[in-house]
Order: sequence, then structure tokens, then C-alpha cells
Amino acid sequence: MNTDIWKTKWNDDHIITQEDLGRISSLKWLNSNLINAYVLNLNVKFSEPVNNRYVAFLDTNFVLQSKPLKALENRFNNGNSTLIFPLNGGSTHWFVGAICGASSTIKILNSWDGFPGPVTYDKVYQNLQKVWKVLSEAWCQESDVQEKKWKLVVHDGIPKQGNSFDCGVFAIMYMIHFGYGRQVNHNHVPLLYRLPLYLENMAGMRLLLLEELDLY
Amino acid sequence: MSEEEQQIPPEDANAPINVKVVSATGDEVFFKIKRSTKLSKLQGAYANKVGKDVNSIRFLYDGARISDTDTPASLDMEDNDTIDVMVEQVGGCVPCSS
Repeated sequence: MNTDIWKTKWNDDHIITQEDLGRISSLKWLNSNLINAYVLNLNVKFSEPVNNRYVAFLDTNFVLQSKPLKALENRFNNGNSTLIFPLNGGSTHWFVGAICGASSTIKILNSWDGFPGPVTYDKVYQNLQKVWKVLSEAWCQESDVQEKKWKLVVHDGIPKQGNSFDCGVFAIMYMIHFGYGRQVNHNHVPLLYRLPLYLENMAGMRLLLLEELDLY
Repeated sequence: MSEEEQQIPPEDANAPINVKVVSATGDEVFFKIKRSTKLSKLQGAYANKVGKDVNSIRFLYDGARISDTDTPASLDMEDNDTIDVMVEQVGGCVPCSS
């Protein structure tokens, strides 16, 4: 038995290693395994619509035709759902992209101004449109849903990281907030998760996320 | 029942199966592996073949990560099944990259 391995109480299949835990508890950069663990957690947390919003979180490895992706099909809600993606720029930076079907917008939430920058945003905009097309053709027969015209929105005025290692934590927090509402720090977000504009206690935020993993 | 019939082995549950490992760029590597062999062996062999550290890549079967203790039998894998390979990504922010 490998004691280096942990599992979460809400998903037996996802493995967290001691190295992953060290990353989250030691103010280190987060890796895709941790980010994907929270994606799984959020899909459990928001399995039912909250405030009449259907949301689905897609991990960094999502594979078409895979069981995890098929399990999200019933949340597509005829194109009125929000699909949320953790994104990585150059294996140095986590940020979040979201496709909001109801408002026909592609949103970007980034905790670090100036990176990845407009060129990458444009690429994200193009790629998320392609993802929507593929998923909508698989999950919905309506041609107007498949052929939506999208607008790119880069969210301003959201809490940003004040250090050089917390973009992964911010990306997870942004995803949690998007589960509850269309904006960061929306009134529907429980106080526990609210992000002040200037953050100092990021170690506490990491502790909160560690507890959310519910490891055994 | 004749002696000859008694000696016919049951279907070999441990017969090797062919497994295709596919990278995010579509490159394919084929392995033949016993159903009882830990997939960690295959992971190590693949990492060796492509010249990467095994800890920097993740192996997925049907969208779920494969653990070190999984075997083809424990995952109900069938002949010619596919394993997807993903490179681990990390992030903190730009100024720290070096």
C-alpha cells in the first residue's frame, strides 16, 4: 500500500499525492492534479442548479466521449448553462475561462494583470467557441445554440493576487464564485468564500481549500 | 468426461492485452501487457520511451487518472483500449518563472 496517496471522500477515483499536498500547504505553485481535484469537487457541489443556474466545470484533461464529460451533459440545459474551465498559460499561470450560454459571453478571470495578455485572451476566445460548438452539437440539436455569436468579456475589478505563487488558489476561488453567481463576490457567494479586494491571509485561504478536499 | 476435456484450461483471465497510449498531440505508443500487471510499469516504460520524468505526466483511462496500483483487470480494460497521456501543468505567476 502506497502511503503517499490520499483519496477524497467525494470521489474515490481521484488521487492526491503527498507532493500535491505539499504544494497547497507550503505556498507553492498548484499543479493540474490539484486544480482538477477542485473541478471534480465543484461538479459535486453544484450538481443541482443554484439560483436557477446550471454550471459545469471541465478539467484540464477533458476528453470528449469520456465518462466524466458525459456526466455533465444534463447540465447543458439546452445551451443556457455556464461552462467553466481552469486554463494554464505557458505552465506558469492559472486563470479561468467561462462560456456563459445564457448571455452569449465568453468570460476571462485573471488574477495577474498583464499576463497571459491580449494575444492569449484572443486564443482562449477562439478555442472556447470551438469547444462550445463541439459540445453543443453533441448535446443539443438546436442550430441557434450551436451557432451563437459570442462576446469576449475580461473581468475587471476582481480581487487579484498580491504575490508570485497564488494564481492557482485564485483560479479555484473564481471557479467557486462562478458556481454561485455570474460575478466574483456576488451576493449569493457564502461569506466563507468571499474574496476581499486586497488579500493578505492567503495561507488561510489555502487551509480552507485543503479542508474542502476532505482527504482520507 | 474424458481426461483430454478435463485438461482444457478455462479462458485465460491473465492473457496479455494490447493497450494504446496516446499523447495530447496524438502520438501513439503501443504496449502488450498482462491483465494483472500494474499499470505503473507501463507508465514507467512510456515515460522512458518518450524521455520524460514519469512524475511530470498523468495517465488517464476513460477520463479518470490511473493510480500506481491499478491494473488492466482492476479497470476492466479490454483489448485495444486507449490510455490518454497529459502533461502536468503548474502555475503561480510570471515573475517566479525561471
